[in-house]
Amino acid sequence: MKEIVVAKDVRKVYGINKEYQFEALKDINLVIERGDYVCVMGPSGAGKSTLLNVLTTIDLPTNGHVIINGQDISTMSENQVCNFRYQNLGFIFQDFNLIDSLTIHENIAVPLTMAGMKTKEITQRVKAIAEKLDIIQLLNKYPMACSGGQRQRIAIARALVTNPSLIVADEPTGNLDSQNSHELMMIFEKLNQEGVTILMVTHDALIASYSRRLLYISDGTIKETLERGSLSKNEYFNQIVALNTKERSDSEH
Amino acid sequence: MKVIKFSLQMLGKEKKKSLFYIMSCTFSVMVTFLFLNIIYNHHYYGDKQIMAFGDYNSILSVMLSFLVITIVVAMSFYAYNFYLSSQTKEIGIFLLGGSKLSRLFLYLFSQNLFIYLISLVIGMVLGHGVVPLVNLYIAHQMNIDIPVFVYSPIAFFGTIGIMLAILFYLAIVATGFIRRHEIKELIGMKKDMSKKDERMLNLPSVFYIVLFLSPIPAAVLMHNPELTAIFSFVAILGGYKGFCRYVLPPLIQKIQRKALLEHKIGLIASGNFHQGLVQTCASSQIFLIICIFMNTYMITNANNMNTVALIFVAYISLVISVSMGLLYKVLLEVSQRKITFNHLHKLGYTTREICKIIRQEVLCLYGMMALILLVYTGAVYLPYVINGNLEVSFMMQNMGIFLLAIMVTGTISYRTYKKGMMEEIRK
Repeated sequence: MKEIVVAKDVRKVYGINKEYQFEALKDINLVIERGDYVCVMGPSGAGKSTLLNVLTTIDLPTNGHVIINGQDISTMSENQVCNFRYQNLGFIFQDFNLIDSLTIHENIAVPLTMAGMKTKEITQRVKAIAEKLDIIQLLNKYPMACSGGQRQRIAIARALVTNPSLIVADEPTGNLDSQNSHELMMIFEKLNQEGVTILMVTHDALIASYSRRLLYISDGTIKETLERGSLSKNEYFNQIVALNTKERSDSEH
Repeated sequence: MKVIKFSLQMLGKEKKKSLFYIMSCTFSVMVTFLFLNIIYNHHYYGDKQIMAFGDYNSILSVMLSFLVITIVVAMSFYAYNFYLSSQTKEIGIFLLGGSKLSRLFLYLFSQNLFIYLISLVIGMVLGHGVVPLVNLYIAHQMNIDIPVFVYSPIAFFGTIGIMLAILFYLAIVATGFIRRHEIKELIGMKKDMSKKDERMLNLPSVFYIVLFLSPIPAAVLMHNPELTAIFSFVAILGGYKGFCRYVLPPLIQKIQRKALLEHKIGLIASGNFHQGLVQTCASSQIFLIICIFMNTYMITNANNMNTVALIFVAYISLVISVSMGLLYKVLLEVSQRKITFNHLHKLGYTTREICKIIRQEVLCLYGMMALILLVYTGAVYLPYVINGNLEVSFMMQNMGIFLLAIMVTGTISYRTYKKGMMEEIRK
């Protein structure tokens, strides 16, 4: 099967049965294929994070269907959704979301523990991914003793350690400087070349230019889709900037 | 006026945090009023014919009453410290707006004034209800016949005076505390699990373990409750902190890597338990020391029921006061775990599993305190009970007080902690 995520007529409304209702997503139709690298862009409040949450089982759509790896998430129980999450998805967030009370070793191990692996295999996998991301020297430290760039690498290690079908990144460079952002994007690019599917939300055109496909979302709908195809990174970046400028001027008028 | 209005608005927005602080202040008012009433009740001390506590014991009882008032007032300082530490971000933002020191003082003073006014009213009403009950209990224990509805005007005005003094003192100290910190520090204040080892002398782990366990052989070999209590104080002041900070981290890491990597509940709960232990170390130490001190005091005065009656009232007052301080500290610390649990849920932990983690963490935290107290006080009581110098019921009653306090505090902690985390996840 080539399709990894399919969204059919997805609608998300907040405040149902309340005085003020807000329609965050309107009839979203979307297909993400295995090995894809999709970036979601748009102004603040456009529905980027809501889309990401709905596509990754964190939130349920009000109407429509989200199908991941052939399974409709709306038909699953809480237990099934939770199992599905740690078996198929790897999350990376802007504020890293590491567990302060665990060392880096245990932080990376959490998804493997949830998957019910044996101690020996967990230790081997943690060490292997830590070596790959050059954080082996940090394994006995606590998150608060690590820099922002190191914490993001740790978050990536935790997201990748189970070999998930899909990496989900919500503003992953939001708390990083330009050097660390670039390094993170190089890691993503390499992972994508190895076949890992990536779904990323960002508001930075330069970061978005590392993707293969861009979805521009505004007022809860996908307004434009850009394919990188054979374009160079610079050309693709220029197209993204032009699209942003056009959409902003359209929304102002 | 704008500063006062703003400070009261901020107080209203942080209802839960303010509520615990108000409760702590209310209890301080009530206990201060109660013990001032005991000190100034002439039926206990003034009339030479009655002298219910006896000459020597009268002095001890007055000293004990002052000690209780001092500790309870200190606990309200402590509660304010927690309250202030949870407000640093708001204060930092207030200062960002260019507020002067005088306006900051007014901000902090008006918040405290409002809290103390509420506490004074409720505390005095409760105090007026508790004083006759305590008089009744003491009179019954001493086999004397005294009027129970005796209120001293000195106690009334004395309590107001003490609270007013605290009010000014807290506002001045808090302003000084804020002044000493940069705005950036105030906005970003966060606890660090991996604090640098700042020990002058790098002592081996075994030293802390020996120190921590020293009251047990001391009790068995010396048969002297005062000496055992001194060992217990040293063990808790030095050994407990060292044990939590320097012995436990590598131990828990080892346990996690060897035994808990396959247990998704135990892995997280053990980490949180250790974090909670470090963060609530000072509050736990105060709780443990108060319990051991009061139990030892009761053992040494076991032959004098007059004094034991007052010590028992003091013991209950102090246990409630320090339990509230401990509860406040635990809840403030665990409230910072919202992001962690929210994220664990995103990673795939079900709400039922998250509840299990919270339950295990709270059980371990309070269970450890109960175990330490049972061992330390048990070591003091047992030689006396075995020799027939003390009744088993006396030991059970006094140990039951701290066990009950731990159970109630633990249950409230668990319920509030769980509710807070579930609300965050459901958001």
